Amino acid sequence: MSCPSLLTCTVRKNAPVFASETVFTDLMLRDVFSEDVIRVLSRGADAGEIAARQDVFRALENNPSMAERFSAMSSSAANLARLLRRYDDLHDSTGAVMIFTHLAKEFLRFLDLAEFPSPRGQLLTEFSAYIHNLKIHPLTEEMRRLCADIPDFSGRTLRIRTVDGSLQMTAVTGNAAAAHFEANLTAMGLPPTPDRQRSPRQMPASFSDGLAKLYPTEYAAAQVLHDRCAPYLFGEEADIRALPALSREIGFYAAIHKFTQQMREEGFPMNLPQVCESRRICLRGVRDISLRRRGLRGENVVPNDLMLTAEGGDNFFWLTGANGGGKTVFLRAAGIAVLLAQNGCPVPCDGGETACFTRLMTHFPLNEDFSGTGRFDEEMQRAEAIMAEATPESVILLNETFSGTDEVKSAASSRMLAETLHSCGAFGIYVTHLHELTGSTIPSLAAVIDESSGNRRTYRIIRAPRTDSSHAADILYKYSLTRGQLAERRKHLGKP
Amino acid sequence: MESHKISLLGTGDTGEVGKDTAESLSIPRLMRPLGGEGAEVSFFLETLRHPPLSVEEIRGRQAVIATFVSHPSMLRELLVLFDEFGRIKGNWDAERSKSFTLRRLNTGDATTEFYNARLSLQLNARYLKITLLRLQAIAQLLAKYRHESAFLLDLQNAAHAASLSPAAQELYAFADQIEGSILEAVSYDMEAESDDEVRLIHLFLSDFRHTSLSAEKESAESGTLASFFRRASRQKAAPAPLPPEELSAYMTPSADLRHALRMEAIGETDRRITHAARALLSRFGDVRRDLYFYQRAISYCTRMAERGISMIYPEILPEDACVIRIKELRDPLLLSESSRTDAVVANDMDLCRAGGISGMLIRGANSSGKTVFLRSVGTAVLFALNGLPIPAASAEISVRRSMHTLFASAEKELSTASSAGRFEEEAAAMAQILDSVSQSSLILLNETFQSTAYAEGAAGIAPILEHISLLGGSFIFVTHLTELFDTYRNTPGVRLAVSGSDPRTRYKILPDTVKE
Repeated sequence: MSCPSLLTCTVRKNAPVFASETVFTDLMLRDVFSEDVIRVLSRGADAGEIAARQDVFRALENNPSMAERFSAMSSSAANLARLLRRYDDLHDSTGAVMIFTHLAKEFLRFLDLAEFPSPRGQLLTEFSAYIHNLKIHPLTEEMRRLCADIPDFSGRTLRIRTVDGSLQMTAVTGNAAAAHFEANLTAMGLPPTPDRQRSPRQMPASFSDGLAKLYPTEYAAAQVLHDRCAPYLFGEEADIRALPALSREIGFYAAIHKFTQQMREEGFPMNLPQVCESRRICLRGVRDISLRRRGLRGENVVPNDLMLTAEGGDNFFWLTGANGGGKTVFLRAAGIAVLLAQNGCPVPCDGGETACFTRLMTHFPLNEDFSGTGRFDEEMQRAEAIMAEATPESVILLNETFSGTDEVKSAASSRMLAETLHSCGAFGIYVTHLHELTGSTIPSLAAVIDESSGNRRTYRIIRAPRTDSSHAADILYKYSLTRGQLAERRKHLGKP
Repeated sequence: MESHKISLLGTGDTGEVGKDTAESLSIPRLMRPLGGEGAEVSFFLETLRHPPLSVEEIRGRQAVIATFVSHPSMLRELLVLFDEFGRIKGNWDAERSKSFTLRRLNTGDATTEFYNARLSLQLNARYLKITLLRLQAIAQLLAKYRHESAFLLDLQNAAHAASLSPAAQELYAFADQIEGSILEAVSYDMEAESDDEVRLIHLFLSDFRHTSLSAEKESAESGTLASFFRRASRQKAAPAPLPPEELSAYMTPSADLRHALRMEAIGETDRRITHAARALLSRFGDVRRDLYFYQRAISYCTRMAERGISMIYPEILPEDACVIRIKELRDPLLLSESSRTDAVVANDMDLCRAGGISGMLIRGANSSGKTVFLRSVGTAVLFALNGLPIPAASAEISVRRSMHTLFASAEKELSTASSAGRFEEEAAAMAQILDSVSQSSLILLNETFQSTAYAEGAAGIAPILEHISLLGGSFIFVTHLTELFDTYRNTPGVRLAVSGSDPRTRYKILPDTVKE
């Protein structure tokens, strides 16, 4: 039985990218997720995989010790990969025998971490069964017994003395000179010398031969372990070389789970939306997590509903409204929600359901470099690429595309782009300040202001027939020093 | 033992004082006659901006000042020693730079490279020794004087541990051995660890000797060579004998690998020695600058003493007490500059939230002492919160999380700005102040919002004063906006005061019981 994947149920060779790199830049996720996680998120998942991954996340959620295990499994798998590479480098030398001891111990440690007592969902169940079979194999048992008697060859302190042209090695027992030096620093009230990342010194075969001579009993036991168990570990039954690939997959779950916990601690609700067959996105209370950069907690972020459906032409919307009203924030919240939902991950929202999509595209021109042919031409090229790839299984988010040109050209290009996407059935939102475009066949959303309160921004996004002003002059109202504004400030602080 | 930086000012959280506050209170002018270099005065003023939030730390500063007042020579001697200590890093950097340049010009073969590595180790070991010796002197100086200041005791104990403890003496001996003998070394002992990939990590030079081991075997028989080296080298133990063959293993690495191992061991030892020296310099590096603060503080105390002004250390209360209660406070600036200190009028101050008072309004004729009073209270609070004594009979002052002033530019030199410009500037400054108002904030306002129509100024400032109170802060407001007095006359929580208008009460701040 070969090692099953923890991410995919089906083999999807040459699957197209779900979200390109620019999506992660536009949604400000590059410093939220590592490159490995982004690589996984960029592929998306099919309906079966979404459900299976959600089962894993639920299991992590319901069982805190499982989350810790995942983290430990990820680093264990990474260690296996490293030791395997070194073992292969040393071939059949004395050193390889010593490294095999560490490899075997790490393998056993991985098995202990990886068997889940009550796995739920397809992915975990298959994986646990695979691990269980390995654990009960007689040679695994023998390996465990042999390993128990062999101490590690790592962490041995040696004294190396120059003797004419040779180096004499002896084992050091007790407090090594460097440790003693550091102990003195501590006693003097000083911090320890920082660790320095230096590449370990590769040694010739005579070094490991020397170690074998210094620790003859341990080496003899390691030789027995190697002779008995190496064919098993590297053979088809255990296939240890397949395990390191799991490191990235396990790391993905560990990272997303940690991210979910972190968001909840910062007041953002995180939920797993249901997958629905009808062509719609109905997510309640989506929130833009990048607002954390401004020091906002989730409870203070205004939630909005993301409601798009293929029925009645409500698949694609204009979004207009006051400057600083929360339009870009909503667009990002929508993008993050779709990206995570399509990967089976918890979403910053109150709940809901969404269909499966095969493509997420964004266009936030401020993040782009227009040093080429000119902004409009480059935007048009991007727009044409988007139109060429758009299908009813696409979600497209556009933020003031074509705003860098005169009003007539901007209106014409925007109308053409939006109508093309709307009519082909693609899902999406197009933020614009061109109020004359609203009130057409393409429905509109608007950022709400409170006109009774000096055009205060509410950050709510609602369906609106049309809008006619951005109230740009309001941003000029400085200082917030009126009685009402100060009262508002105190309310925010929980004061009378 | 902790490895934090040693400070004579405290290391805990600090409050925030507005960047214009010292200037508004004329503190630079107060400090000017006391002399001192620009950097020292700047540091003193900057320190005032961040008073400790801990009652213990403020009391700690009071104790240091009291100690230096009693033992002025202690401060002088400490300054000399710490000036020398402060020069170590500069000298070290200069020598390292020179040595580095020479090495760059003389890049050669492995022998030269190895020699240069030992030179670097020798240089750094020398500066470790120098640093340890300076700290010894500091520890010995502090032990010479009797004192009870917690901050000075901390410094004394830390200097002792860092230079006179057994661990420090071992480190000194190691550095001394390296400085004296490393260039003549021929044979080396290194320690290292094996990792899980059977490689060597954490190489460290643990010993060295001036003869090769095969020569040592000869010298045991001849006697001459061994005694020559024993005379020539510094005090050094006899080299450890070779371990028995059965407990050893031999490698015959290439010359390159042997060289690389020695280089790495020397380099790692150099790195640790350098870290030790730098850590010592860093740990005690701020003390010299802290002493500048105390130097200014002592100059201030000395000047007041020379003018016959008695000063007291206020009782410092916790933040939640929210009180300023001072008896017979006189303005330090007037006391410092006036030819007749007995003519400087004393006033009392009583502002206590527990007593239901969150603010004070003061009105009165021009040049009747309102601003001087505001300045004297502001200076007293700021100095008290930084551990300095104040010219009063008694005082109870609570810790403040923030303190800000907004003195109208009419009180300064004439500005060319129009009224409308000044008003917007004041509004902007006020908005910034309000961003940091919280419980225990103290805001001192001098004729604020008067650069507009009076009624509008009053209407504009009233909700701001209310806001400060509702957030738990306190204010003292010198103003000509008499409408405010009408507003607050029947409103509890704000004390109304007026400056004296007849010769008997000139410059006195009195309760305002009469409607103007």
